[in-house]
Order: sequence, then C-alpha cells, then structure tokens
Amino acid sequence: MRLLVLYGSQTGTAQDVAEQIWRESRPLGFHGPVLSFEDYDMQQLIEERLVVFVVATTGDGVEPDNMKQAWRFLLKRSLPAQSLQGLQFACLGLGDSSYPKFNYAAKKLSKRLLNLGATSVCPLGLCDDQHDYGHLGVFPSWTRDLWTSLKSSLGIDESTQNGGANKTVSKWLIKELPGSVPLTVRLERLAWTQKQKCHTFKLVDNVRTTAESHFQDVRFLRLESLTENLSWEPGDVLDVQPQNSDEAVNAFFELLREHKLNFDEETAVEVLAAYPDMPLPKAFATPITLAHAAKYVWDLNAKPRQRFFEVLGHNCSDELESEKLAEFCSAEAIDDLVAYVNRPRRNVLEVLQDFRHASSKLTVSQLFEMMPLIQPRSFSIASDVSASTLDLLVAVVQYKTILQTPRQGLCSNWLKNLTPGVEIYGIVKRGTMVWPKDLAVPLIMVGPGTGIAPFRSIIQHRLHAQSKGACIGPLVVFFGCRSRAADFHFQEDFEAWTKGKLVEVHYAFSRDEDRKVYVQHQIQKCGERLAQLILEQNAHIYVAGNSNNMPKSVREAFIEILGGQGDYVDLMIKQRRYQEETWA
Amino acid sequence: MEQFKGLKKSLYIWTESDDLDKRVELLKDATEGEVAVENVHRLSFSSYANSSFDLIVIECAQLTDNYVKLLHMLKPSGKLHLFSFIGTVASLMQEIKLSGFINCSEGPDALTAEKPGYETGSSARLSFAKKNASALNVWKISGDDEELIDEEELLDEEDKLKPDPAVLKVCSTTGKRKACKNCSCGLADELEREKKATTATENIKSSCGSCYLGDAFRCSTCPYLGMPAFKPGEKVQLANNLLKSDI
Repeated sequence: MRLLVLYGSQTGTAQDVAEQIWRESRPLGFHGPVLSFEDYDMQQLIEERLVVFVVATTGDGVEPDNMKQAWRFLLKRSLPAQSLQGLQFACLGLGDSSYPKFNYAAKKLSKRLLNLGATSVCPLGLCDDQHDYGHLGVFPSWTRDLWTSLKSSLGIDESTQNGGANKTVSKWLIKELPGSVPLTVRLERLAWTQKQKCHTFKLVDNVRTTAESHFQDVRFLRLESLTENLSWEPGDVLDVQPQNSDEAVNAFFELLREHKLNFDEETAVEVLAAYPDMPLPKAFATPITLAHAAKYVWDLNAKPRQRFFEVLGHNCSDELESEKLAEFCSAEAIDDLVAYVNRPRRNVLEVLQDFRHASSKLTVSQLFEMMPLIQPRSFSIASDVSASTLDLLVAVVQYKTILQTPRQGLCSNWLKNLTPGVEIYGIVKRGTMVWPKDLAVPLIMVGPGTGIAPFRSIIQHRLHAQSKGACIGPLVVFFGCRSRAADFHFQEDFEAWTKGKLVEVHYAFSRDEDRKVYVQHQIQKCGERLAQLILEQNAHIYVAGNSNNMPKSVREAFIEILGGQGDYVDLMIKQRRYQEETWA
Repeated sequence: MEQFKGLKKSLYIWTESDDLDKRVELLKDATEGEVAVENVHRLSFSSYANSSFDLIVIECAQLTDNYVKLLHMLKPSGKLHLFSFIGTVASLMQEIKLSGFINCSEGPDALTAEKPGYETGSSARLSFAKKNASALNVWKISGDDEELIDEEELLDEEDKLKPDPAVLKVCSTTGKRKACKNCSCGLADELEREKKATTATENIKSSCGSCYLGDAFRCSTCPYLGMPAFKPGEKVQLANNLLKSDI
C-alpha cells in the first residue's frame, strides 16, 4: 500500500525522522516516497490515501523554509471543507517548548488537515527539544503507536510482508569510478548545495569586534555582492553554507589511513538513488571525490543520530562494539545515547575514532549512507542596502564539555577563518521582523550582544531616508554587553549616531559597575519617555538577541513602565507592534 | 484486579456510596499504592494536575462522562478501567477512542484502555461528515494570489498548551555510576552491595581494563573520560592533576 511521508525540516532532524519512518514502513508492506514539502506537488494531496507528516517548528512558531510554499497552498480559503475526506494521516511535530509557540507548525497543519475533512490515524505527536532525550523522548513511542494503529485498521499481517531486515535498506547506490577518469568539479557547486540559486559575495573585511582578552571572539564581516542589483530589506537574514576545517578533513583521512582502508581522498564515486522513493540531494548530482565530500558535503562536526550508529555497525565483527552500536539504536538505551553523544556534544569524527573495529571495516557505501550533510545557517544582515556592503555580526561558538577538545561551532569558526578576498555563496531570506511603513513611527529597539545586528540595518535604512529628505520618527536603542572595553560591538557607529543626535542610545555595560546593569534596567530608567512614545506616538518595540531570560525580563520591564498593563502589551504583540526575534 | 499491582497512584471514581470503603480497600490492596477517591458528579469541580495517575477506575461509566479530562489526568501509558457501564460496548469504546485513548479492549464485564505513551497538547476527532464535494477541480487550479485563511485562528487555547515541565525530565537515570561489561575492578560488585546497604562507598580507582575502549565503554569514574579511544600501542598521558593519588 502507498504511504507518503512528507517532511518540513530546517536542520535535517525532521528529514532524518522521516527517513526512519520510511525504513520502518517497508517490512509492513508500505511503499512510497519520502519528500520534503517543497519537492511535492501539493495539488496531489487530494488524491493521497495515507500520509505521514513530519513537521519541525523553527524559531518561535515558524514553519521551516522548505514548507512555506506548501503551507500557503493549504491556507487557501477556496479549498472546500471536505476536500481531504479520503485522506488518512498521522502528524509528528518537532519543536522546543522553551519557545511560547511550541510546535505551532505541526499543530496548525494537523488542525487544517482535519478542517479539510482528513482523518487522523493516531494522535498528534509533539517532540520537544527540552526533553532530556530531545526528540527521542516522543518519536520512538509515537511511531510504535502509529504502526500498531495502522496494522490493526488495515489488517496487516507482518509475516506475509517483505520480511528481511529493514536495517539494511540503503538510500544510495555507490559506484566507484576508475581513477583514470578525470573529474571536473566546480567548487561553487559544492560550496552551495541547496535548491535555491545562490548569490556570490566577496569577503571584504573580517574583523574581531571583541577585545583579545575577552573570552568570546565576535566577528564583523563585510561582504560585497557580486550579483548585480542585489537587494535586501532591514531584518532580512543571509543563509550561508559552511565547510569543514582542514584539520577535521585531515583527521578523517588519517583515520582511513590508520585502518588501511582501500579508499582515500582521490577515490571518485557516482551516487545513485537506490529507490525512486528518495530523490538524490543536489550535492550528489554529479560524481565527486571523497576529498570533496569530506570538505564540502559531510558534516564531520555534527552529532551522530541513531541511523549513524546502525550503519556503522553493519560490518563490525567485534562483539563488544557491535553490541554497543546496536544498543545505541534501541529504544531502551536512549539514556546511554544521550549521555554519550548529546550531553558532551560528541561529533561523528570522534565516534569513528572511538569505535576502532567498526571503523576498520568501513566501506564507501557506508560512509555515504551514514554521514549527515552540512546544513546552511542564518545570520541577521547588519547593514542597509544603501550601505556599500552586506554586513554580518557573528559570535564564534566555542565551549567546553567533558570532552578533552573544546566544542566548536562549524559555521562560526568557518567564517572566523575566512580571509578577505575569498568568494562565498549564500541567499538572502526574509526575516521575521516587520517594520511600519510610516517612517515617522518611533522605533524602540532592544538588542543586547549580537542582537544589535538587525537593528543596525533598520537604523541605517531610516537615516538614509532622512538624508534624502524624509521625516523620520525617534529611534531609541538599548544595547547591552559585558563591558565597554570588552565587547562593545559597533562602537564607532554608536558614537557617530550619538554625536549627530540621530539616535537615542542607552547602554547597559553589565560588568563595568559594582551592580549588574542590564537593558531592562535602562528601560525602567527612561520609563516616562518610552511610555509617551508608546501610548501617544504608536511606537513599535523590537527585541532581538539571546533567548534565555532577556526577552522575558525586557517584556516585564515594558509592562512595568506602562503602569502594569500586561494586556496592552499582549495587544501590541498581536498587532505586531511588539516583536521578538530571539535565538537559543 | 491482579493486573493492577504496582500502580502507584490510582483514582477511583464512584457513584454508589454503599460499601464504598470496601471497594476502595480492594483496589488499594490490589495496587499496593495510593488510591484517591472522587464522586462522579464532583469530577468536573476537581482540580487534579495533568499526568498524575497511573490508573483511573470508574465504577459506573456513562457515555456523557468527560473522557478527555480523564485522559489528561492520566500519566502517559496510564490505564483506564471501566468496571461497569451504561450503554453499549461499541458506543462506549467509540467515545473513549474519540477522546484519544488507545488499546481499547473489552474484558468479561469491564472495559480497559490506555493513554498514549507520550504527551500531547490536543486530541484528534474523527469526522463523519459524508458530503460529496467535487473538490478535485479547486485543488488543481493553482492561483498564487488567492485569499488565505487566518492561520492564527486555527489553534484554540487547548492546542496552545505547552507540556508540563515535569514530563520532560527522565527520572532516576541520569548521572548513574555504571560498571563496565567485564568489570574487574570491583565496581560491579560494589554497586550490587550498595543496593542492599545504604552506607556510602569510597571512591573507586579505575583499573578495570576498559579505559582504552572509548567513552562508550568506560565506567563513570574512569579518569580517561572525555578522551578518545586509545590507538594500539598508544601510551596516553593523563593531565597532571589526574595523576595525583587519592591516598
């Protein structure tokens, strides 16, 4: 029977879950594609009989990029109420309850499908990153219930189906190419392997904004667009695709050499889809060498998921390692998996180094089956299109866990090590912030740390309009950081704005004085002025930055200065007069 | 009622007050746990927290009872047991399934069902509307500039519920001291003894022979935790402070 699995995935986790569901469905006699929403023609949905949806929610309540168009289609008012009465579906959501709009994308989809007359075969599953086991807290038991429900309602008898281990269902067929065939690989095609066409940029500047003595490295990068007439709006973000560091790539091939495996950097392969069910990623559209795969395609820095351990164990003849690898895939040992991988943030390279016997038996096919693919990351654009460059403010991620070597963010460290003059690729995406069309509306912006990035773009935008004769409303900014001398990003811009009386700036240098001063304290200090702007001049409030306690404290401060009117602030949020764009 | 043994927190919903004590005692003995008691008519006024019971027993169930509320009150995988009921088995089973219960089954004169093994914020209702709409045409016409419904209207207050933070923690399994598979340093024996006694144990020095295998095989007191597996013939230097003897 046909079972369609559709996924909306931002970081690849929902896609991984969808593929696992596909693998589990096959011994039960199901067949059918696993597709992202953007690869599926939504008009066909009315003809489907059985669909499993795996839907991630990104940011606060937002559907993933590869689901946006499909979701718009489903929201059409003209779709008749009982259109989907022939459809049975199951929906699993992946989300994070530290955001207010927990799993909204999955919840809304499920509701909309029911409104259109579809029936669900099991209750909506809601995975939560805040669970000790992450999405594994809900996903395994949800799929068990799904199969139980389908088996009974469809009368499936497992013994008559294509038995055989679903464990060895591989997505790809690897054809090694003879060394004599020269490969023409265009690096731009590997540096950007997403579906949308990218723009090319030249890196003009890469400067550290924090003092050398400060614990964190934050980079100010300036890019020049090589695409003619590239435009963007304030609040937009730039998606870029990082690459593995040379150290990681070398360590990977060193591992292959140690085990005397008969393939290396120069081995060239063609990747083919083993089933029509799963389309080939763009990265594998043409033949590549392992050197390219290791540098541009495989994420050597990623945390392995269960499928990785499953495939790693395929040829392992060592009992101890085999057992442990199988354990990590079981539902009973999720605790051990979390302790070994998630809590210390262990990456795939380190796991290969730990499982020596299994690694000694690796084949090229296994590598392509198990390696996670590099995902693009988004950064707020910190300059207006009227400025000559597209600017980014990037905090370099580096921290310690129990592992001896410190953890490093793949993308932030890649950006940190770029030298001016190189070309990089990326696309501009709409951000979530919406600005009032009337330039006279005052803007109150709260952007501690790197949160200041998107505000620099709107400020530049408005000041540019003003320089062309437009009348603009007050611009009030609250910026917080640890110390004037340590991490005062955009210091020069702030000083120029203050000197020219163009922007009202309030600083909160938390460690510069005896008691901690944060942005919310500065907000309270000018309560009267702010209240007047908000209540009498329709000021819009924007909050950007780290999603820990800051947004909550800031909101409470605003409620306080408005005389405790929590309802008024709630109304502002509904009207998009109060907007938060924060990240974990 | 032997199948209820070990269920720590139960709720008994009663209708008839005669011999109520005796029936509650029976349940208490069977489960060997706590039994809360509530009258069926007072259920709507009660304020039990979500996910608080392993078992809910109803003395005399009706179609009109609030099974959705009972579903919320049960812990994931918690059981519902209907001792006797008014109405047909089929209609009652349907009502319970519509409310979100799974594994509904009929016993000699009781119905049992289970809450799914995961928390959800909403339960799905089946639609029985059999309107024949020739909707195919509307779907096939693609128009990008069409009017959209307001997606914010899709969710009601119940849909917007977030999970109870307590459900997110996995109890009693984090930070445990674990012995290696072929423990030769005595940690495995130690842990065995600890189960019986409650005296604190001394720090164990790791010398079980599993250290070279990598974190996946090391015991929780291994001084090499955090370092990769040893390569053959590798002599690993521990950081200086780890070499200091405990004695």
